[in-house]
Amino acid sequence: MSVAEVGRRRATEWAARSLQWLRTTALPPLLLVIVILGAWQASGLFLDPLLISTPTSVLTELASMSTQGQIWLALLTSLEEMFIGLSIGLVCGIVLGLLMGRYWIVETILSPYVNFFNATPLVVTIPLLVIWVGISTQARLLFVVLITIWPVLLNTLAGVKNVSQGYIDVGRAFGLSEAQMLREISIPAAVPYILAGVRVSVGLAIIGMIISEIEVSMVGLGFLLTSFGNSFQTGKLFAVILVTSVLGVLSAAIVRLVEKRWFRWIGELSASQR
Amino acid sequence: MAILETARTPGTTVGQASRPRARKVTRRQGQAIQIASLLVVLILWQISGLFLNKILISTPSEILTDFVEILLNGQLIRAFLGSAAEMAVGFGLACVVGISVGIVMGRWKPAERAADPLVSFGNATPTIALLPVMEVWFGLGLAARLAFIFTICVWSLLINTLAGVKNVNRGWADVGKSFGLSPLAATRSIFIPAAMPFIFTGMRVALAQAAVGMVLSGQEIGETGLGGLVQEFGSFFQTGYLIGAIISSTALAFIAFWLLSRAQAYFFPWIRAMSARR
Amino acid sequence: MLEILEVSKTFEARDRRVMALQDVSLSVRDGEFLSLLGPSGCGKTTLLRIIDGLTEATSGRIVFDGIELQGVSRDMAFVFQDINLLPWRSVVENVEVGLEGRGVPRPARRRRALEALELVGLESVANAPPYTLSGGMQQRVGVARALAVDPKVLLMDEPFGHLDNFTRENLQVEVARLWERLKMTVVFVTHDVDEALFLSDRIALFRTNPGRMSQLIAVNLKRPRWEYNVRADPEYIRMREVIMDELEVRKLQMV
Repeated sequence: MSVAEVGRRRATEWAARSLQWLRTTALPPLLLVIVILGAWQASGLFLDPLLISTPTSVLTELASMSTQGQIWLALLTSLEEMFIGLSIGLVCGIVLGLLMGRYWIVETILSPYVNFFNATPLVVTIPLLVIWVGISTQARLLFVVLITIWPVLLNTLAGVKNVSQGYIDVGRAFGLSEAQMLREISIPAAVPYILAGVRVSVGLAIIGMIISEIEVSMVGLGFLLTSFGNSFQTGKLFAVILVTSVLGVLSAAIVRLVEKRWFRWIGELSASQR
Repeated sequence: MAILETARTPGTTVGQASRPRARKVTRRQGQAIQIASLLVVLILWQISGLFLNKILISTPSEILTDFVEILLNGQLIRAFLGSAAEMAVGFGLACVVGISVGIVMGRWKPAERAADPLVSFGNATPTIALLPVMEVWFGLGLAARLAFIFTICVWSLLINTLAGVKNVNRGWADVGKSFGLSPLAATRSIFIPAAMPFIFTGMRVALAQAAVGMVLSGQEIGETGLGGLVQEFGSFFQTGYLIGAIISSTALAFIAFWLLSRAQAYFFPWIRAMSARR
Repeated sequence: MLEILEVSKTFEARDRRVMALQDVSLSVRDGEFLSLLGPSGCGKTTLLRIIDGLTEATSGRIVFDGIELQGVSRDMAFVFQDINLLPWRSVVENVEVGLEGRGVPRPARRRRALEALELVGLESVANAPPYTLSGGMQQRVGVARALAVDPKVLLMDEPFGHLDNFTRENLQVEVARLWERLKMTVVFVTHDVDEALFLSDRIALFRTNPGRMSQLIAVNLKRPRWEYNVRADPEYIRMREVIMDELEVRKLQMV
């Protein structure tokens, strides 16, 4: 077969495959989205746009807000607070989870409080936080910390306690010290669990940030939501909602990427050690 | 992408060893230490009340008296029952819709492919952002609150059910095929029961979210229920009552989870055996 | 010399007590290859773990070179049935585990680990993640890990139990070669009669209910046993019958 023929054959194969991908993977959701957007846009004709706005106006509002810079400022403020709160929450959660998993006495003493806070719909604590530190950044930060600690704590705890007996045997059989056991065996083995907890906590951090901004604030995306909502600027409201959702999807994707890049062995861990 | 069960499952994981350790201390002793340390904390708290600003935090004894007061005057009970009912209805509706759609998506590929991006998007949207929209559509009352609770927890139910149906043990699915079950019959007799553990995980996550929805909607839409109480006490700096209301919310959540686990044990006792086998 | 003196082990589970081992006494000579052979549940793995110090005996003692054993032994190394390579470490990092436990500094660690890998012929995959290796290769890493600490006694717990027949036979020859070369004491747990006959100087036979040693058999087959068809040797066939009788009769008795 000549080079030209090989090239042509490969091109047609590629075309066929892309067509098939379009048909099976991309088309159905695209179709559904188009139908929904179409219906949404059409609804604007006979429904009060106050109720639901239309895709076109949402996009135009988004565009104007972007150029004005209003939305970027809000996004940045929100992200900054969320990031600090999330970091503190993750660090505290993981450290406490490790301590509780490793030292039975720590677990025994702390578990009533952990159970209490994990069960509580933490939104109820916001008025209390406001009483303590006022309507301020600290209140919002505290709330984000509070909301992100428990999932990652509980998962870390479970991870440390569920280290496969085989790995523990290896550590003991080859004479690892306490510190070495923790560092080289318990923590790496707990990583899948910890990451699952981080995933949940990251999602909660975004929600926590929004909630705390709605309840306690004059800044950020949450504030924009409240003010647009109260003034029935539905187009702008949906634009901000769009941005928030994209933020959520992006952060979940980032966690997944981190997992793929640095923790590829996790799949093997769960598979072989069940 | 079923969310790991350990988070959002109050009272079950902490304190339970997954594997009995070679420990010289018994469970009795563990409980004794727990109670003792709790008492120590309470006593220290009570004592510290002497020099702390009463507005910041009340002492345990004051919290207790405040708690009894709002309990007796009916305020707490009305709020508690109202919130519980709304949470139950909202959660129940979300279960019906979320689980059904999850099953359909799990068993019918086109449905899954079409809706999957939308579901991810809906799941990522913070429902509270839609609160003003719901007020516009449903008014400022019960309907809006129910819609809010529904929207906040339907996604977890859908996603976890979907994961459960898709992850049914290959072997069981093969049994269905080889014995000539129609897809519908297979769905009913094999896939749905097999997905139950995942569905219950989804229910646990959704229940926690419903509790949050219950409080938020109570606060924002009509200042009713436990959410409303918390809002009211907070704005009047009545810290004692506030903490009492917070504890009641926790209690409501605990009761809800307990009921769920009882339901699971009663209707689907084999789920425990399934996860124990791993 | 390794002495096992009247070792017993009872497991307590809520309302039942299981006597896994009853008064097992045995002496292991320096440099010999001793197999512990018996059906599942006869306590041989438990005994091996007690020898290493991973499990504590209910009564009895382990004495090695005149010193009674306390805790996990530093003179012995263990090869696990489940292999148990740490998935988050590369092959050579896995082999280094024992050396880390002994506080060997980094450069020396790496060197000794690579030497151990050379012994099992896997130095080429030193930096690979374990899950990219086949089961047989993974277990060879497990053996390298044990050899890296220069143990005086090598304890192997049904190391080829989870591998297919072909891999198992290859690894049996490798273990036999390694032993000929390094001449260390090996205590080897197996339920496979042929494996025991191929590898051992002596075989300790075990029974169940309760777990105890019933016989100690000397294997006088010519070495090296991979250089001829040992299974056709009349002495081999005779000993195999003896062992099977011993184990089979017990099985019938249980019925």
